[in-house]
Amino acid sequence: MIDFRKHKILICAGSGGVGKTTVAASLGVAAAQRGLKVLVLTIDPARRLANALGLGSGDIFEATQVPGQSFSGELSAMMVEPQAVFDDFIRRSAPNKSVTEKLLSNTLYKQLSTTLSGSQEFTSLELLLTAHQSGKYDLIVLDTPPAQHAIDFLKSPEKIYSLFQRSITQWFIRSGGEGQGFFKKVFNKGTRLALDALEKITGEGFISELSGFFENMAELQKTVSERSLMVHQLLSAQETAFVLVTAIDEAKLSEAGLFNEDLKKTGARLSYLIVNRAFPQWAVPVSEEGLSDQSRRVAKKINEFYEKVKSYYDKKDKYVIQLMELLGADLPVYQAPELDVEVVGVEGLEVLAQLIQPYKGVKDE
Amino acid sequence: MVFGARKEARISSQKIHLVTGKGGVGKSTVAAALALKCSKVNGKTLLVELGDRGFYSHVWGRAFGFKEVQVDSQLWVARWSGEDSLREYVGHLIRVQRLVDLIFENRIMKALVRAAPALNELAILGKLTSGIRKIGPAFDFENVIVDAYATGHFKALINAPKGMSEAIPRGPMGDQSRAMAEILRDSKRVKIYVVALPEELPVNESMELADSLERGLGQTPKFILNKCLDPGVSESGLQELLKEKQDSRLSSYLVKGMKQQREFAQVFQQSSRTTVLNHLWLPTSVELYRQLSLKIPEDFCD
Repeated sequence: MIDFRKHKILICAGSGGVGKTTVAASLGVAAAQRGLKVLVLTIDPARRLANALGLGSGDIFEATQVPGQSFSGELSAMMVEPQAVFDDFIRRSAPNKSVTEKLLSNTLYKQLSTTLSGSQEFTSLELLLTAHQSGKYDLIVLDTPPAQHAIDFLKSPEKIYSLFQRSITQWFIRSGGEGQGFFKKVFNKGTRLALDALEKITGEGFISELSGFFENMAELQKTVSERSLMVHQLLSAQETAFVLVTAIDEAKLSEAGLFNEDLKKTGARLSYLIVNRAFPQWAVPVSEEGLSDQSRRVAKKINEFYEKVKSYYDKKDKYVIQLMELLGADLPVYQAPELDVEVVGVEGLEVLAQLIQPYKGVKDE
Repeated sequence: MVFGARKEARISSQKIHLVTGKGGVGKSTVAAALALKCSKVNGKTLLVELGDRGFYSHVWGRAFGFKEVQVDSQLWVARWSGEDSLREYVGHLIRVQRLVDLIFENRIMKALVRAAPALNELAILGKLTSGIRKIGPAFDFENVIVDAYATGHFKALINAPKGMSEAIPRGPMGDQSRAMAEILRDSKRVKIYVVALPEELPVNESMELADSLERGLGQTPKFILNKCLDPGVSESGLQELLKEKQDSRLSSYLVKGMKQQREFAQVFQQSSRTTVLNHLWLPTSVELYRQLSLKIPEDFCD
């Protein structure tokens, strides 16, 4: 199993539907079993998993202790609620009440802050940083928000930070920002033409709301850039490990290779690969011995089915091997099989934690 | 003239099919199979994927971009990004290329377009409904199938016009947002499919999405239960076998799986039309799309 003591933070990334959330929770269990004080930060868990972690809908800003645990360490969990965290961040970072109020009552912010691309990632990282700075935990496991591609997690904060960029906001501030007389003070002729065109297309209301939005966001810029620097340092720190969770599927696996490339560019490193929902080793053909005639016919059929499924997985194996070659021989690779039991309660997570085994032929840490 | 009239007829009967579902359920595969089906039964078809990175290029072995590329006798594929759609739209409105370039090459404008809430979503929906709204360049397809975003982002996409028209009621953007919202509500024009796997999480997420589409748009999506197990035996036969061989985990896994997918299909069926697609155990390929398209009901393309 992963040597958890080497790390302060494990970030579980992966594209949609690979089972990241469950894997993150069982890594948390495995670390707590080994004596660590662990926090699992998760976003939008399935009801059953939320129950297993003891998370209700009300627990937003406080970590809760996972019920029914008897680990030598201690396991807590916390749910990321983007809207609440984003609002809270604005309240904490605004220089005064007036900015907070203006921003929270801006129609664009109200209508669209939940759908801002990158807001989930931004708030996850914000909570990660706060939890890390609290010094309460030996290890924090972050389950990244659902995204089409694993890479979105790395790119999204950038998008959100660009909201607070001086260049955009200054442009609005300099130009008056009130809609009225908006174009008169703009310095640069090109920009004026561009804005003029944009205003024709959208209508004046949009531009003035947008300028109000950016103008107030700019008030938060100092805090945002400090925090973003800290987040960046945290992500590329020696004790932070990225765990890429992937499904055994050629498209997802080829994406994993790209993710590693992008990760390197940011100064962070991929430390582990977990291939989830791998072929269930527990499934073996039914022996036809001692069966009634009718059941023997059924057994024959399902054994044929078994062979079909097995060869499907065997063919996919070569993609995993290709990926392992691409990522380098020293990267620990684990696999978690497709399960025939549901993960219920903390015991269910313990079962899954035990099933995370080194990929065939790869040596354990 | 005749040609022009035919083109007009095609656009006025144009159908938009939006395919969504939780991440990892096989949305792209189902969308491609549906597109292939519609191209066979109902003429010129465009399959659209959204975003900066394509999936279909792996499958067809060629790059796709904003301009559609023909891949089959009646099937074209395109990949639309928010920026491409916005650029085309702005170009259509301003008609002065130099000014369009100015907007999109300007560093500040670039950051603004990237960061402004909901602009990308609106631009994509604007492009998608441009044929029906008779705005912009010709959009000459009988069927447009969109491999749309996963559940959460899909809701944001669908709700963007309503949100924008409420935030900014006056002006061209408000008007257009209202027009888009109206088309999205029209179940004769726009059909929504929610793809799920026979597992608790995707099924619950699909039911929640269907509920929110019903409330927000008055649209009842169709369900597609994808990758179902079909071992070629009956559930009762398996149960008999399991009585004789109680320790066979393979048999009990299959019994449980078949029972569960039957129950999930019933849950779906109670609220909307549901199609079950079996797992074909084929690698992702055009051949998989073709075989799957044979299982898609023909009237989906009506």
